[in-house]
Amino acid sequence: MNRTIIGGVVMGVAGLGLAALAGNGAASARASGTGAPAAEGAFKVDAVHSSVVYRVKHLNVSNFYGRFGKVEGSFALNKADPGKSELSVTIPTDSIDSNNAKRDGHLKSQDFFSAKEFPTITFKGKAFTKKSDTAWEVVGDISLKGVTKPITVTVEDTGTGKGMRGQGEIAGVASTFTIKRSEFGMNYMLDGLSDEVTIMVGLEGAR
Amino acid sequence: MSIEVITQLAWGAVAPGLLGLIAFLAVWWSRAPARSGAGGRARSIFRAAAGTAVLAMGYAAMHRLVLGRTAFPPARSDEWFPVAALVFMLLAHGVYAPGARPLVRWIMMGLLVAAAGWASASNLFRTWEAAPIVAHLALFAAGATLAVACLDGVASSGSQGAEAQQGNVRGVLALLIFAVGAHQLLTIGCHTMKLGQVPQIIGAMCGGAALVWLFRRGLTFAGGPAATGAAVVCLALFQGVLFTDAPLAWLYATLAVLSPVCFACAGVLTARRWPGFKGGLAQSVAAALPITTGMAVALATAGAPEE
Repeated sequence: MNRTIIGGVVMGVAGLGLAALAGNGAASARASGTGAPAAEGAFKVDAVHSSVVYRVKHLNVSNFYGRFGKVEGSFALNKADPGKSELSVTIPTDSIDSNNAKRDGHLKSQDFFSAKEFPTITFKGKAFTKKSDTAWEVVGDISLKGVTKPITVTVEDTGTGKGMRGQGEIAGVASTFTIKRSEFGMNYMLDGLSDEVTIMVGLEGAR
Repeated sequence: MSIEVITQLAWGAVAPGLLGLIAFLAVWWSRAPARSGAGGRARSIFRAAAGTAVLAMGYAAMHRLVLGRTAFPPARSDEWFPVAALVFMLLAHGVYAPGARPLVRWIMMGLLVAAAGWASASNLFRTWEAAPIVAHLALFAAGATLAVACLDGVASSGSQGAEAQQGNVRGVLALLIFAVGAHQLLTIGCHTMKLGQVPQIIGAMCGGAALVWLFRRGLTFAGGPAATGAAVVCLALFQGVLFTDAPLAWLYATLAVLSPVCFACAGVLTARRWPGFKGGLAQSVAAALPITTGMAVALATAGAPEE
C-alpha cells in the first residue's frame, strides 16, 4: 500500500511537471494571431484581388508552386514620413492549396504547418526605409509555426488608383522573399522538399 | 513513393530496431531469472525497470535521430513525445510498484495519460471550450488505459515455465502489432508521416526485443515496458485525431486501440484449446483484424498520402 502511495506521489509530480511544461510551451508558442484591424488611413487588404504564392523545390529537381487562398491585413507606405508606414499581413494556414486535396491534408498536418495548432502565418513590418520611388526596404517579424523571426524584405509599391466604381482609393504592393522552413521548426523531409521556400506576395488594398 | 520517403521510413525502422536488439539483449543478457527466492524477485523487478527505461529512453533518443531535434520545454504538439515517453517511464515505476492495487493502478494511469494528452495539445485546447476538452481527454484516457491494461495483461499472462515464456513473447507481439498498425493508420489514414513514425519507432524497438526473445526467453514486457510503449502509441493516435484533417481519424484511432483488446480476448478464448504456437497465431490474427479493416477503409476513402 505504501508503494501505491509513493506511486501516486510520483504520478502527481509528473502531472504537475507536465502542466508546468505545457504552460511554458504555450507561452513560447503564442506567436501567431489574427491580423490587427487596419489603422485609419491604411489600405485594408482585398483578399479577392491579392495573392500569396509559394515555390519549393521538389526532390531537388523541379520548382513546385502552390498558393494560399486567403490573406488579410493592411498596409500604408507613407512617402512623406516613412516612419508612419505600416504593413501587416495574416495568412490562414488552413487555406493552403497545392492543387491536390491529399497533399493539402499532408501540408496541414504536423509534418509541415500543423494548421490546427498554428492557424496563421503573420508578418508585421517594424521599420520602413524608402529606397526609390517604388522600392521600400521593410524590416519586420514573420511568425510561422510558433516561431517568430526578424526578416528584411523588399516591398514594391505597384501603384495607386481609383476603385472599380470610381469610389474610394486602392493601392498595391508586392514582395518576393525566401525563408528557410527548417528555421521555423518545419524540418521534416528536407531531402524531398527544399529547405528554402520562396514566397511571392501581391496585395491590393482599399480605403 | 520517392526514394527519400523510403529512406526516411527505413531509417525509422532500422535504427530503433537495432537499438532495441542491442539494448534489450544487454538487459536480459544473463540467464533467465530465477523463478523463486529473493534474488530472482529482485532481478525480475530490476529487469522490468531496466526494460522500461530502455524503451522510454531509447524512444527519446530515436525520436531525436529519426524526427529531428525537439525544443525543451516543448512548444509544439509534436515535440512532446520524448518528454511524454520519459513521463510514462515514471508511470511504469510508480504504477507498477509491487503491491499496487489494480483499480488504483488504472485510475492513476488514466489520470497521467490524460495529463500528457492535455499538455501535448495545450496549444489547441487554448482556443476550445472546457466541455470538449474534458470529453476528448476522458475518451483518450479511457482508450489508452484499456489498451495498456490489455497489453500488460497479455505480457503478464502465464505464471511459470513454458506458459510464462509464451506470455512473454505474446506481450512483445501484441505491442508490436499495435504500434505497427498505428503507424500504418496514421500514415495512410491521417496523412501524417511524421506522427506515423512515432509508433513506428516503438514497433521497431519491439521487433528488436522479439529477436532477443529467441535467445533469452525470460524477456518480458510485463510490469512497465508494455505500458510505456502503449501510452506513447496512444498519444500519437490522440494527436492524429486532434491535429490532422482526416475526417475518419477517430475511427482509425478506435480500430487501433481495438487491436490489443482483440489480442487479449483471443488469448482468453483460445487459451485452453491452443495453448502454444497456434494460440499465439490466432491472437496475432485477431489483433491484426481491426488494423487491416482500418487500412482498407483508409485506402478506399483516401488513398496513400502525396509527398
